[in-house]
Amino acid sequence: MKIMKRSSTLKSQSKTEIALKESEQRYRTIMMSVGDGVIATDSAGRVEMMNPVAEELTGWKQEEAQGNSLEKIFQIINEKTRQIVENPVRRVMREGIVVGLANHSMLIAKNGTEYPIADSGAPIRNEEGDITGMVLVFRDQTQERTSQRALQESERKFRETVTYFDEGYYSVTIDGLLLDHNQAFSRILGFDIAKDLKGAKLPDFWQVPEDRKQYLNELIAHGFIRNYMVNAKKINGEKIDVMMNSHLVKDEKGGLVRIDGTFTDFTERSQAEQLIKESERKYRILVENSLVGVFRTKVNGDVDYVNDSILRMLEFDTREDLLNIGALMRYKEPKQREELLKALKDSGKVEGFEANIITKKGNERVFLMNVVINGEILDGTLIDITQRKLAEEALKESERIISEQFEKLNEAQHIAMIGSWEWNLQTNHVWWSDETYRIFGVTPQNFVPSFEANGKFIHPDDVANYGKSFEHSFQTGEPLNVEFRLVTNDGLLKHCNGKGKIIYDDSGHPIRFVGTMMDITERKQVDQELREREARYKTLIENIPQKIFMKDRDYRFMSINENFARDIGISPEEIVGKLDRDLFSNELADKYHADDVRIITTGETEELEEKYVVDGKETWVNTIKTPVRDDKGEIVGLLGIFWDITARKLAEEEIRKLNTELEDRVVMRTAQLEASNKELEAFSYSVSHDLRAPLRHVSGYVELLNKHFQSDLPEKGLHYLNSIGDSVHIMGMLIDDLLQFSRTGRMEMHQSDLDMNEIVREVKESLCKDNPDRKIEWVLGKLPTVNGDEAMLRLVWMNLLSNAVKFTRTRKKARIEIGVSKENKELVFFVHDNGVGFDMKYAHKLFGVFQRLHSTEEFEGTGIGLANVHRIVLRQGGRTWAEAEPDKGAVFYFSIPNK
Amino acid sequence: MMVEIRTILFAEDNPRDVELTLEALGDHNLANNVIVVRDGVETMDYLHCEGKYKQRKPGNPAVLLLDIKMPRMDGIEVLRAIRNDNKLKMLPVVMLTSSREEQDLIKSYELGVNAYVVKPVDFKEFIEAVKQVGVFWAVINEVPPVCKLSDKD
Repeated sequence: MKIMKRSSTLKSQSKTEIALKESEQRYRTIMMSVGDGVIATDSAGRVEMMNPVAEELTGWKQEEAQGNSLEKIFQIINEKTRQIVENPVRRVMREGIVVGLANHSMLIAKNGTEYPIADSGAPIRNEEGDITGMVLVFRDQTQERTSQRALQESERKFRETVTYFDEGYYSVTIDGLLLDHNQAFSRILGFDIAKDLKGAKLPDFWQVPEDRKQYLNELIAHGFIRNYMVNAKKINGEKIDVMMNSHLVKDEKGGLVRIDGTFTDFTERSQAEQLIKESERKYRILVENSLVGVFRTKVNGDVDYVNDSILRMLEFDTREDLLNIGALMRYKEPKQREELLKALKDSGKVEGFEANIITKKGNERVFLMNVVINGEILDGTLIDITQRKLAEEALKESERIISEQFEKLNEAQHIAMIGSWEWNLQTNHVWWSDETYRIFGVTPQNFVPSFEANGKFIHPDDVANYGKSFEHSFQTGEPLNVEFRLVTNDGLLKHCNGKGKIIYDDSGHPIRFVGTMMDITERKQVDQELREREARYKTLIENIPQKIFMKDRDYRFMSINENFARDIGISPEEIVGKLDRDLFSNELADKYHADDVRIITTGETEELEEKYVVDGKETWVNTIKTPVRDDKGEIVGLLGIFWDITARKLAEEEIRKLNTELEDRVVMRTAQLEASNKELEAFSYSVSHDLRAPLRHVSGYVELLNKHFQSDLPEKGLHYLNSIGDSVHIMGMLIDDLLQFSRTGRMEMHQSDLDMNEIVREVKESLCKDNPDRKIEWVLGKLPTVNGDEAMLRLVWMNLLSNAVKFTRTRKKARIEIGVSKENKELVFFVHDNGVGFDMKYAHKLFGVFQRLHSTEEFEGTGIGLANVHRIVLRQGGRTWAEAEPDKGAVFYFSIPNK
Repeated sequence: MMVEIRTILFAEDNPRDVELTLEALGDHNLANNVIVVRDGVETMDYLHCEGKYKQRKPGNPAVLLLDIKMPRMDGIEVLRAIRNDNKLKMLPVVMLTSSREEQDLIKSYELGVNAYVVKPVDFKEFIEAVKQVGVFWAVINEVPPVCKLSDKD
């Protein structure tokens, strides 16, 4: 108020004073309307003045606050520690510098309300540089936007109240000829205002000629000059101080053409002026320190004025930088500037224009611009909203990502047939995902979900349980998990599974119920089918007589059928996890386990016969164990099926026993046979040596008797001697034949392929030689090759053919036919003669030893021949038989197995 | 020209066989140089000049007619002993036996018998067989060198 009063006394002051006053007024207005809180103090830190924002935030009216210490009015604490923070005013006073407030400061208003604030303090100095007070600027960050709006508003007002300086204007050639000027020019320099000075030489208004030189040097060096203070003189020699702004105008080739410039009279100063200056300075500091950039430029971009904030915002290190560069703002898109200018031309002002600006240091910033055009002059403010834009962008991006994810989620839910839902317990509003709508067979257009409305779809039989499940969750806080059936509008029956969870706020009140809804109809159907199939298998497994078990990879029982369970006296439920050792003796369990390990290791199915104990009785079982594999072919366990084979085992055992007995008997009998064979051998050996010796002696002595005493014996005596000799001879033949017969039974056989034709031919020839007188018609059929012992078979043919020759002796025309017929499995050889034949009633005696069907007188012989034939053919695996009729010949047959 | 009759060693336990055999040999004047031994042991004593033959004139016979079935040591054992004896192994040995048992034939030939003759039951045939054997081995056949040397005394 003091300031206000002072300034009002200056009404009648000079125009410079008025300008100053206006400037002061301008800053005051800014201060009063700016969005930041502003408090000015005197050098003792007592409040001198506050703006309405400061009043509002602190809760103190300026009238109440004036004269109080700043600490009382502006009470700040650290947001976190809640300790009182040193008031910046003290530091400013102490150190004389501009200070920012510590972060996280909270302002405590008179009524106790707390505001998070940002602030700064700056000292106010007089011309001599002494600190005369301090200004504190702060803002409520909770209402960033509001205060921004307030700032914009104040800027707008500022723009309206800005008045024009009364500046002198001139345009002059390098040689100093005045090309143009305005009235202010004349007035300030003391010319007649009405007089046109064009074409006149610019008066030398420099008090010190060297100043002019320096001024020109700077002007030429930079091309322009700003706020240049000059000690000048009027036309009448009166000294004045002016502030000049000039720039050089060049032609296309870069040659200097003229200088255009303005200047202001700064001469008149008074104490009041100083006061006003002081006040203006305060406000300037205010403006400089506010977060709003303030600028005044020409349409062509020439800068008239900028505050410090804007320099900071545009990242100019110093004002010199701006002077050097000349341009304040570089638009990222030059179009934006065009747009701005066009809008200004159309409506005179632009508010809230967003401009993308490249700072001096090349960083991109987004500014919110308010600009007013007044002829060629642009006045504007800038607020840096880069952070906000970035935040907005980030928010948009995250919104986009969220919505994209939401889309994906919807799609995924559709595929999985899982919907989600959220029930706001405070508003009772229910939200559904698309899939939840689909599951219920409704659309967001035709159905509004709510707990009550949803219930109408639940199958009547499931409603109670459905409600109970929700209730349970509410009461216990446990997650919801409920299966129920839905009847959709279309009458479709669906199985659903609902899951959910209640979300509580910090104080434990339920605020939301969120969850999922899954269509499990298909799963239910599959389940049902599986269950039916399982039931079928179960019936099958339980009803087959075999015992079945399944084990896992750790050889633990997983399941068994009833049949097996009965055996071991344990229920199929109890078996799970048991090992063989829990059920069987160690010996059995070890055996079973070893088999299991092998089957799991090799992956081969095996069929085993093994022991098993049921009711304490040892039985035998046949077990098939096979590895069980999963979808990937990995062995996950084994399956076993077994059944009782005790009866079979016993039968087998019996057979084995019998076989053993039989073998024993065979061995015994063979031994007996061997022994009797040995005896027989010894017997025939004896016969061979000892029986013949006496015969030989009888024969010898008969002969010696004949030789030495023939003449001494009567005729009868000689006859006796002859009879003895004949008997001995027959005896010798008998012994030889018997020994032969014995040999054919004992002789080792040497089998080989024999051509029967050749053997028969040789035997026939030898017989012909022995009976040269006989006329015999031989009919030899073609005979096969057989496998047999040559010596023996030769003996067979010899006996048969010699018999045939012998018994056809009485025939004038003897006929002997030899042939073969091939029967099923044997070759049947025959010898057919037309001899004396025999009576078939004695046929069974034919092949016996010493059996004869004719007298020795008729036909000589020992009755050994056919016995030999029979024995040999038997040993070769064949048979012998004969057909005959007395006097009508005979047919002798023998067979040899055909291979 | 005088035919040289060499010594025949005749091993036979049966006196009737001995008599009948000597009868047969006598017909051909072969009987004088026949030395009869009654079993295998005696045979070996003779050949080794042992026992009652300690004092006999040394030297091997031209041939040994050997019966198989004899007490104490049979013909097969005698043959084996002769063939295993360095001084006797070349001695001609003829089996003269009743048997034509295969096992005897095989064993005899395996042990290196020089001939195997079965005595026929018929005496005429017997005399013929013995005569031939006697003539062949005692007269016709050339004895091994050792026998010849020893025989010169």
